[in-house]
Amino acid sequence: MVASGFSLIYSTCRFVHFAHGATLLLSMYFLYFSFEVLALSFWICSVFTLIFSVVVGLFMNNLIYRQLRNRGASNVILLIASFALLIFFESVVLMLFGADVKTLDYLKVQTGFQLFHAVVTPLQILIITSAFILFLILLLFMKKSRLGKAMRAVSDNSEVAQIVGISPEKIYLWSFIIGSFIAGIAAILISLEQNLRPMIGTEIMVKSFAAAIIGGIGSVPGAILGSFLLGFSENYGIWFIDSGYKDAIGFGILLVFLIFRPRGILGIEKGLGD
Amino acid sequence: MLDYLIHFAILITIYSILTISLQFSIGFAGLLNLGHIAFYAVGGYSSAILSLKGFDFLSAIFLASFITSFFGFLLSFPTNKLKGDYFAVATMGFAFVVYEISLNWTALTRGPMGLTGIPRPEILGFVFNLNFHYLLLSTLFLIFSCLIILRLVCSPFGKVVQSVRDDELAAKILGKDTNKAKRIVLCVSAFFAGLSGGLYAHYINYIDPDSFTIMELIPILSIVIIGGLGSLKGTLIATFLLVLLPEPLRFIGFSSNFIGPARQILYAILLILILIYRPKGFYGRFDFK
Amino acid sequence: MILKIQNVKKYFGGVKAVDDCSFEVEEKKITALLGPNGSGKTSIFNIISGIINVDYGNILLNALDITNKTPEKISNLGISRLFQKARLFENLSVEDNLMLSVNNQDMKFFNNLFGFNHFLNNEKEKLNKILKLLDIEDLQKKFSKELSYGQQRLVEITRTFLNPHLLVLLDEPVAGVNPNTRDKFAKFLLDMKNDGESILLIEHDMRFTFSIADKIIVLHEGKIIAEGSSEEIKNNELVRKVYLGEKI
Repeated sequence: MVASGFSLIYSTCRFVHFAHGATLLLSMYFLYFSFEVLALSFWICSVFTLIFSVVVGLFMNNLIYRQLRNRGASNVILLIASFALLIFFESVVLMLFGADVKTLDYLKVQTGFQLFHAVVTPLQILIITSAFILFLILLLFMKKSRLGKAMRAVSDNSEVAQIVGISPEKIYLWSFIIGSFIAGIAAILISLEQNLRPMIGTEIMVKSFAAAIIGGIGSVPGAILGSFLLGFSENYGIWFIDSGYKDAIGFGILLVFLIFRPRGILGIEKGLGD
Repeated sequence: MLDYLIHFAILITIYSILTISLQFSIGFAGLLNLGHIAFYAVGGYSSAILSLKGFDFLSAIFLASFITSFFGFLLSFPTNKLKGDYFAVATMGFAFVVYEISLNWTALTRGPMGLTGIPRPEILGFVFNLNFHYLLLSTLFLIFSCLIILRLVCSPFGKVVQSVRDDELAAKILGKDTNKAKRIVLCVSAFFAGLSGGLYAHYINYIDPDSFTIMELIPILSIVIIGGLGSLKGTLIATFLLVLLPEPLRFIGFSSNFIGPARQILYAILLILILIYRPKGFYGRFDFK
Repeated sequence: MILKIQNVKKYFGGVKAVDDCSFEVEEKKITALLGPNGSGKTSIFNIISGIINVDYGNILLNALDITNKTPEKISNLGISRLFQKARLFENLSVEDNLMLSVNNQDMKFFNNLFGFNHFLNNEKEKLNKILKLLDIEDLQKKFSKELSYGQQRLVEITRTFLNPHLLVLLDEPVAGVNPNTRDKFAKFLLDMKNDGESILLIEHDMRFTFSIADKIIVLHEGKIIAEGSSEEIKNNELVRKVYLGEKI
């Protein structure tokens, strides 16, 4: 899910938005703070979290990226700035909440059932289903709606799009809104399932990036496919190797893809040529 | 106070070797290597392990540098054809792999507990126990690294490297094997990163995986960009200033729990500001393409 | 002949960029490719210099098959190329730009590291001679991004001719250059031909092309529609039709 939001932003804005992980991270801690510390009801917190994540996304786009784009910065500069943003927010969270693990006690830990030798909890089923539904909506949106079409136009060629009257800045704005909104949903679901820690933004981000590359960068369905592939191989891979190497397996696969099929499974050959 | 200054100067020399090696790869070859910190880690670990296994200092540290260089060689295979952001992310992935290995291969690295008791250097019977002596040694290494990199940059080979940065296809059309050039750059830059990692390990006498997380990349990346791409002088000055910069925090008396993240925040803000307002850095001649 | 193109085909998706082209380039002559935009001229250049691979067909350089080899190999086998747009290394000086083309000694890492490159002195003399010849001596220490477009072009053409070669490919050498410099180029190319250079040229400027080319090949939509001397091409019906509205 994170990968698809990220992939959406990448496909229109053409740069690697690492700070997407920061949006995710901040949203998770926002949820934690409002739910555990302010003790608001979970549903209210969730709504606020979604709003919050969009605000964070907008903040980054308008305050940082737009400035850089106006200066004509290349996608590599945007990438560096975005990386700096990620580390910045991660450090802020570390400073405010400390390095220890936080848990969100909304749903009790449920006993899972066996499925293909793996333990699956109802919550995980919920996550997978909602990811799937979200994915369908997103796909439909990109194919059918005017905004979706405009986004694809900008992603194809922003200069031509500009000539026919689509303002790229406006499209960038919308992709950030939608991408960050998805990150907000992902943040809620992940915090239900996993513990919160400051590094989680980077961890998930880098993984979704790997998933996006494996699936074919800039392609939203590709991102989903890549995420599943990555998730499966990591979880089955640790049957054979030590579980500490979970991420290393993911990146091993990434490197293999980079050597043999750098455009990913569904991707087009972009970012490779001049 | 003097001890503190010497400690500081040592850190600056070690850091300088690391930053000029990254400058060589980013500023001269245009390879945005976000996995550079992994080379630093490989160098630190190899040198530490070798000397704990009984190698003497010089052979341990140079062997470690060559091992790191070999890692650079390996990394060049998946990344050679990648450009710009792809290269950046692939190398970052490499940094994660190295981090995980250092965390999990406990037989070799003792995992999160880290390696302790890394001996201070000993050359021809002389032990560099005093920090002042260590400073002399690390300065010597810094000068050695600067000279080699300067030599390379100014040589015809250096021009080839820079031509790859400016326009790789045009360089190919002139008959340059640009893949080979990039591979060599990665090896050389890894070599010096390894060297500085080794120096760090022998100085602090202790290393653990957390010394080499991706977070640690932010300071060195900031230094390279703030100093200015393609300028060794800028890099050295920026290293000096930026290593110094967060130190007042310590004097004000914040706890180390606070200083760690505060340092990162400071560097991140600086980096973003410089990208917005002065993308060439202070001594750089050009912008990223 | 020095270069032989045999039945080369290249498709981009459904578009036939180059459709079954065959032609030859003679030694010590100037051959020109002519045709409207999108007729496949630059694609042919990209194929010859190895930037794109062909779907079908062969390219022979002096009977040596160079089809689908890498650009650097093809360059080292003797094809030197000028791009349509200025592609100097903008953060290097003019001198460095030219030195890069002279030979490949600069790729020898350890020689460079330990400083055995005295051989460059000879090359430097050669370089100074050429700079004097072109009257751009005063530019050699400048960064190439500080030059005017015309100057950049001049340096680039020099670089192309300095690069060791059997054949030179020039992609629109005088596009965007003022008429004065254009005449200088024409004279320069003819001088080069008389010195024994073999040149394959793409050019939009018809007057320029007709005045210097020994053989002209006209392309349309990826196909060769005419081939011959300037006079023959000028009087060719089909060519006139394709270029309807453009004066020949």
